[in-house]
Amino acid sequence: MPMTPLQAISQKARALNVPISAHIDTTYRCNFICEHCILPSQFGGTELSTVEVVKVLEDLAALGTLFLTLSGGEVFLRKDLDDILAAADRLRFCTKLYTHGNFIDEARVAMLLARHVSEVQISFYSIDPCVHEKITRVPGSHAKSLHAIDLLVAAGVRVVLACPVTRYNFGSTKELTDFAKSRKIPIKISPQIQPTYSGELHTLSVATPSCELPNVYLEPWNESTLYALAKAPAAKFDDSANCGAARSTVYINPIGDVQGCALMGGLSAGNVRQRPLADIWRSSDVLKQIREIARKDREDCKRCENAKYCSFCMANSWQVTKTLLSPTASMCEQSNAKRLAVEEHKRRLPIFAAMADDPVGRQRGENGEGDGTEPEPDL
Amino acid sequence: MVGEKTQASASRCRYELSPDIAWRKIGGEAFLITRDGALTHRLNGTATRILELVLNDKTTDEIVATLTAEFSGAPDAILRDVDDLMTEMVSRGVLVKGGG
Ligand code: SF4
Ligand code: SF4
Repeated sequence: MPMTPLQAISQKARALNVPISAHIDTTYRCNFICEHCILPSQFGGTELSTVEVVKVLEDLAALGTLFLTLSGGEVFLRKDLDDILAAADRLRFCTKLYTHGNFIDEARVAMLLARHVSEVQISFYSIDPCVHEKITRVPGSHAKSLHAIDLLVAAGVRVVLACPVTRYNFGSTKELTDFAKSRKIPIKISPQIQPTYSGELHTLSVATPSCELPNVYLEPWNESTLYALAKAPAAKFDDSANCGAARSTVYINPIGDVQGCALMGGLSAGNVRQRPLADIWRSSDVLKQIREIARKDREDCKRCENAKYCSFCMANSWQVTKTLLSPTASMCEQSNAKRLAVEEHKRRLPIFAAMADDPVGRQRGENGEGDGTEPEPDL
Repeated sequence: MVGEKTQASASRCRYELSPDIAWRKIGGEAFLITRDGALTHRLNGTATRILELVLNDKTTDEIVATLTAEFSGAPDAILRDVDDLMTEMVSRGVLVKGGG
């Protein structure tokens, strides 16, 4: 099958070490106090000025970055957001904002339209205000986020909902998915709670209880992934990269530290106030080391029965174990839950069960004499 | 005659990148994407060169002159190719007609 242009971009970027995606946290300030928040609890230093952020954008454009994510903290707390977006527009990025949406009003929607912002991703935890505000710990925040969603959708701005699943909202993903569907808005749901950028583990205490995780993965939001995982071949531990970190993605924090990805806090490759971004990207030893890591280096994963279900993350490994290659309890727990969910999904769908477990059924498929369905790969 | 006239006026045209387009040149090829992420285009080396000349505010006849020098081709054939590409890019919403 021929590659789509997006696949071609991503493949070329990785092969040529072009940071095709960049994420800039312009501030770590936020007026919400979500328990699962990945921002470090202590953070010092002076935020990059408007001029410094614009210089970073110019350097990124010269390096080949096309997809830009501006986030925080709460990105709308940057008073100069319009100047930053104007520069991003002039430099022809495809720009995405991550926000809780509470500061979005008509004037800001007009600004987003004028600056050709591609997408606004809004953190939205439940359609139930009580559940949402139990997480944000800000009364009235649910209504404001909803209002922002309505304003943006009405204006034709692409909106995506982002919902980390925690012990507070694990039971409400179905309603949330239905809500998103009814508004024709894509939704990203993730039960993987990360340590903070500085490696503090307190966020993990709000993760979905282990016994509930398989059920969360069985909810409708994950249906297509369950199908894909069921059909996926066994994990390969070859020369390919674990992900795009430091190969095709780059992260810059509010004071100008450069990392291979957003979650690799503490693994700074240099600071844009001291060295040009292009120089850091091309010659930092930290980035070079991350770039050299391949799947085959994950020795501890090679005999894992859950490997094909695993979204191994070097940053998670770094935050928990201070190595980039070690499994962590939370990654392994998530993969196990995904396997259980796939197995349960197959059990519930008769065709899956027949194909996977019945050798006669499998033979029928292979010989083309049965119902014509592809034979199920070994699971 | 009518065709010649159209071509003559087209040759003085300037085009601009549509405000809805984001783009980068990666490994000699231009990748363009509508800012809503809905449509992507991948240009080969020659089309990428033409796009760069458009972005440098060159008229169609200036683009043809540059390409004729760079690729030592026949100006008529190059003009036809450039015109075809411009028409295609305008119809896909990548370029819009500019001043001049
Ligand atoms: S290290 Fe983890 S968070 Fe970073 S890009 Fe890779 S998978 Fe994503
Ligand atoms: S589940 Fe754990 S051991 Fe298995 S591949 Fe993932 S991180 Fe490695």
